[in-house]
Amino acid sequence: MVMTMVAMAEGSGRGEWPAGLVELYRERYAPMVRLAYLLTGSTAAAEEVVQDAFVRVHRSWSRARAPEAYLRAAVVNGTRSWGRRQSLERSHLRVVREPVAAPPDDGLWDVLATLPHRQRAAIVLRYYDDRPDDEIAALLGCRPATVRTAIHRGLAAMRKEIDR
Amino acid sequence: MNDDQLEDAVRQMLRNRADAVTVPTRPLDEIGAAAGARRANPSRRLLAVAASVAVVAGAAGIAFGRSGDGPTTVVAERGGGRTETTAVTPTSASPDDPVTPVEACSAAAASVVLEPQPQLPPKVAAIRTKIGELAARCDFDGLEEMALSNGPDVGFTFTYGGAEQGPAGYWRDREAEGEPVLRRLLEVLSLRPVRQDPPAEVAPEDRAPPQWVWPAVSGTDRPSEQDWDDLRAFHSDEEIAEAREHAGAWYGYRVGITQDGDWIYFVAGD
Repeated sequence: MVMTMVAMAEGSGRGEWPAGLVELYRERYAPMVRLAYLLTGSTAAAEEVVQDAFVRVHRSWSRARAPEAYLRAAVVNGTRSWGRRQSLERSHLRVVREPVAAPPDDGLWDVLATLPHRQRAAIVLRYYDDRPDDEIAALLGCRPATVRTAIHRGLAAMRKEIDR
Repeated sequence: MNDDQLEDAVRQMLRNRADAVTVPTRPLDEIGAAAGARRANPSRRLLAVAASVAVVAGAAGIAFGRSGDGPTTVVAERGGGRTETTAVTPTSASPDDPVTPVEACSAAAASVVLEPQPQLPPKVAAIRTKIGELAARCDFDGLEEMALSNGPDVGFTFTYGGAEQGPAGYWRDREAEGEPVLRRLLEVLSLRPVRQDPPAEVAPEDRAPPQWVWPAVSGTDRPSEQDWDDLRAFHSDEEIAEAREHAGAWYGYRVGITQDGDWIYFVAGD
């Protein structure tokens, strides 16, 4: 899959996309889609968010000092905006949950889906993306202590599910 | 199940879920085109914007940004509530586009009306108007200049994180990441403010000047139902409920201006 992506990325668009960005895309597109999926629960939304994030990175490429961090921040912000839109559109559109897979963890996954974005993002960024608390805090625009509180509350909700 | 086991279970669940996602490969060109198409036909986003941006048409209002396809109007607030139409944009203004953005930003596409707030002292009202004008023009540098004009003794807070740059660079980066910071600034300033006085126990000689805080919910220890309700103009019930339930306070974007007319913060988070 990686080879295919590289070949495609280096195709007709190469002239418009800096080589470093092509490399970033090759390395990080799929992981970012998976991260965004964990934050949205929708593969379609995840792809859209990550595509938009890459476009933003492209636009800011000349002044991006840490493109991967920039990309991650754009993805996390994108999922938050997506969540807001979902909330506002709820009365207009029925949200269809996508049957990506059915591992035996539906309970925890279902609880994760009900958590406020900050709690969900803090849990995903720590336990999936292995980010330290200060980095999570910067991504979520809060203090590290708030990250720890969010994780504590999110885990408490999950524990309730397990203990049922 | 102890804490370590719970954390392991969560870690494993996330890994399983992520691994189950098949990521289709797409050429970069296609990604750019797809994003462009969403910008060109943003039907879903327009719905959210329409729901989140309150357009309060007032004859004596201060309107920034665009409203539908019509021309942008700017009516500046003057002391005593008198209003007067002013030309804000000095560059390449045309009759149909009197507010030409200095650069791109979320506020350029927003339709937010800043109605006069007669309770504000003239100095505070003037600063609010000026901030609104600069935000509507996407004038990051002008906003920074204004924010930093207080001098180091007063200061200006724009982030609680370890910013490596000034307010303008910080706001530009947030905008580039998809956070509509300058639109939020306009939205916040359109909400009802509250005057925050220093605690009574502080000796008069040590008291800082009173501050005006937008939105009111951020400027009081015990927000009223109306304070919370104001937020509905721009935020979903879910967001507001989350803030009330988990924090008991509003940590979204908020603005503070001292009674002396110093803009002292525009910040989100806690």
